Amino acid sequence: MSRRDEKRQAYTSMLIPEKKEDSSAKRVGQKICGTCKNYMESSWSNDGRGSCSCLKMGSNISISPPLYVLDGKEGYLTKTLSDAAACKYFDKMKMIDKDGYECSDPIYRRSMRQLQQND
Amino acid sequence: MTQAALRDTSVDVFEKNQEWWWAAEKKRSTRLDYLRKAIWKKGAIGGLYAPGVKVDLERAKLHTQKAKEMEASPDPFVMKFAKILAHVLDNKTIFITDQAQLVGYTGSLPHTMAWDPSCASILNEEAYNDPTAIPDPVDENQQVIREICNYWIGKSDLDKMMPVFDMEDLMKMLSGSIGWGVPLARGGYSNKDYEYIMTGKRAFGDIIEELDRKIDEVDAEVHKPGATAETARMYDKLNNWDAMKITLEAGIRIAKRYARLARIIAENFEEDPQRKEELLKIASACEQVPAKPPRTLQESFQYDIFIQMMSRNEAIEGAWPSRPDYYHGPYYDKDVNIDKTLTKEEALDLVGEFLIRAAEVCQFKPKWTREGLQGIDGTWVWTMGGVKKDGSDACNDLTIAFMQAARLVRVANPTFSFRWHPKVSDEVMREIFECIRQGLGYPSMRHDPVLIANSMHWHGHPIEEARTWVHQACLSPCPTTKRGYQPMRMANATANCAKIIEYVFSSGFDHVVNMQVGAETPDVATLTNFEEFFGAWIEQMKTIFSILVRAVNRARMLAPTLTPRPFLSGISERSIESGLDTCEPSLAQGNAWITAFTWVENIDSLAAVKKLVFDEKKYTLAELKEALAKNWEGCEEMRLDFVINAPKWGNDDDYVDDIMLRCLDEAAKFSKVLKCPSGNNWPILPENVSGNIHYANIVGALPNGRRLGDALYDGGVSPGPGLDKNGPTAVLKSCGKIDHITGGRAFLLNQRLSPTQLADEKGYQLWRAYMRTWADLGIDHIQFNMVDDKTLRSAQKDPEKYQEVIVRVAGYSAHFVDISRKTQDNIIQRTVQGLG
Repeated sequence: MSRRDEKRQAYTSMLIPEKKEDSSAKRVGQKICGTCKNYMESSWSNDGRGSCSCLKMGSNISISPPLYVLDGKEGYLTKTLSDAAACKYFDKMKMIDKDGYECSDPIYRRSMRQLQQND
Repeated sequence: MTQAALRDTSVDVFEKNQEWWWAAEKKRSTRLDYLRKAIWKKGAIGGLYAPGVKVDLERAKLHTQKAKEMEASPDPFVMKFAKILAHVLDNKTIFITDQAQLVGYTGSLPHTMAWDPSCASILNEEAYNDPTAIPDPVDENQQVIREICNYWIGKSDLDKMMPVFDMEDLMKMLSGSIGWGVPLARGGYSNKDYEYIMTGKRAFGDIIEELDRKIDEVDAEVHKPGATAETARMYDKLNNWDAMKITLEAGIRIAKRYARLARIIAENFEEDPQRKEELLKIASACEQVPAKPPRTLQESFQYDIFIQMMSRNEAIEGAWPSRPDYYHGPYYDKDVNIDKTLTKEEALDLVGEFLIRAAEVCQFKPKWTREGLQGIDGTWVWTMGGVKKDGSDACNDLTIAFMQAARLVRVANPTFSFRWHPKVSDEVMREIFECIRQGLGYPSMRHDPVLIANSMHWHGHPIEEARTWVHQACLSPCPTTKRGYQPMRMANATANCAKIIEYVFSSGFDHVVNMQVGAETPDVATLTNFEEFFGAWIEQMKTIFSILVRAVNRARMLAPTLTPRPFLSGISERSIESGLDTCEPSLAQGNAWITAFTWVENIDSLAAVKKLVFDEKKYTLAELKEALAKNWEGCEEMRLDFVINAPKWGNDDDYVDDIMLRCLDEAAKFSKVLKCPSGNNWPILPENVSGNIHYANIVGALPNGRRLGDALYDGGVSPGPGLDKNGPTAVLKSCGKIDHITGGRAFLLNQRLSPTQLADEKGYQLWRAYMRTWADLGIDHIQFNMVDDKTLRSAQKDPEKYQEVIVRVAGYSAHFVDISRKTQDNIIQRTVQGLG
């Protein structure tokens, strides 16, 4: 795989899928990447982009059993709402700042509709 | 404050207590007071919109509905797009605010934020994910939003653009660590060809006639016997001209809808004869403009509002480049001084309302924009003063009226930036000082002779064109001429420069977003002297700048075909003449710049490394690398050494000031290596807006002692908050060492002054003396906060009582209560300088 192919693959994994149904709060599990201490949001995080500081590119926690790649340089690209129930590296973060008005704070994600049930 | 207390307290008492907002409320007319209170607060508070402000679904639905209808249409894309825009303008809900004399709004209702779903799916997802901004009934409307989001996946501008970018650069950009914004011709800062459209010589009707002539000429040409490559290109020109015409005609139609509405209300519902007359005047104005050139000040303002409204229906515009005293000034002079059809008081009401109408403009924007521009919707930095094309003073009576109106209505957006030059009268300077003294935080002051020379140096604008300059965003000058005006400044050429020094320690790997973003420079621990260290810094600087510029250049090349701007083209002489989209690079002189967020952190960090690692050898680079990797944890003593014992920018200390000059020199050299698609340079422009807060959790620990999460400096070439310990003159002297013509495109400088010290005539004279030093040193920019700590701390404790306190953030002003706590603290931490 060429370097360009690798980047294209990473980009494709970050595309927004068409959602036919409303993914309501009730269907979002308690363990999602967005509430894990290892999750690092990017500036573009309102559409749910982020990466894992523990797992590396090539990992896949959406399959059974999950594929964990711990070696490598670049982080595993994931999203705020990705189901992390099966991930053995999931480490729930402590929520702070209840008003949601602070900037660049992990709590900003809680203002997103899908996370309200996780309070 | 209760209404009774407000009524019983005199203006003098409020002014003595420096409670300018209460004084303004008592001094302004009943109409202005009503209009000022009738608008909704649109700027995000911290990163979230205020309660009650909602995404406007009407526009999104109209746009999507027409796009679906036209899927099978044989029209070329530019024509389809023009027809969609016309459909939106023809069908959007319009309203007239009680007591208003000016009409036009981007959304369908006063509390709505216009949402254009065709710009970017990532923006659409934000509309879907933000429960606070979804209108009632939320569940039902969320489904509507979902359907709109689904339709635009893969079809929005950014979705179409991204696959044709370089994937590696794209992923680095999407990480959000080094850039800000997106490379789109329909999302950024649009200047306008005001010399073509705003001088009273022509309006939409005249342009449509010109377009018809052009179309007929070229149509005849393509049907003559013979065929060349030029003939083949003519079909595209014809399509572009047709598209321009469609949007201009739609612009005239929506104005006539406003005229009809005003007339209907006047003739059928309004009982107050005075208001009835006003409504008929609105109707008359909207029948005149934008079809025909304005005749009065009211029509001139109305014309401007229509142009801005239409342009903001075509694109998400994050700025409002404007020179209102220059372009509307002749109408003020005619109405007030010559024809005497308006009294000064009536004119002041109109000017105040013009500011209010601009203050309410809002388009739904993504999180990074909201965080970076806390408290405002976009940077409406209006340019005042300056010189005319022949070099004479351009200030007029309207310049003064704008300053007076600003103090009455006290909106945080628009703000003013004043082009100072030696011929500016004392009367105008006193009006400016009053605005600053009364805590507006504006006008900021710009050095006109320096910036005209700067425009000629960096971009080769001819002197007459350079003299027309307006602020294209917060700071960057751009002419308003056929070739000189830049139709779109794409915000993602905004570099988070603190990453430059951070990456020197991580060999370009970003530990916050887990990605190799910067250059793979050698392990910092192996560097043996400052020159090697500085070499790594240069390499990282070049790498970051290049990633961002490559993306913008690519988008600029693709813009005419993938993201055309038929309306903006329709008000641009170069497009009317050529038949090409106004974003076509070959038509433009080029006026690109890299906004350098978080720049001074590099200077203080380099100085700290030079002094403590290489000169004094107190620490090794390996030790420093380890401390930074641990975010200084367990190294507090060492961290304090880097904070306290390293020299800091802004103290007239050559040790660190020379490093600033070296860094700028390297950036300036590389700015000439980087070229925009028009073939011109990419100078840097250090400034921050609220990026210092937005990036606080994205920039890792730095050698200036900063930890991950700490607010960054407030930007430009402003010293770090509280680190300028040698007084205001030392700050100016440090900044004065920079060549503000050749060193970069512009340099933001924040200063806080004591309101008590500047309270009277003596205060004005102190400020004038300070400004003379500033001018003599050739510094291109300075802006002031003149609100004391006590007021700001009281506002933090009791925000309800201090809703109207305004502060200068960085390049723009905002109401203090609308910015995040971190930004508030950062402003309070800035050193209050005493003059004299």
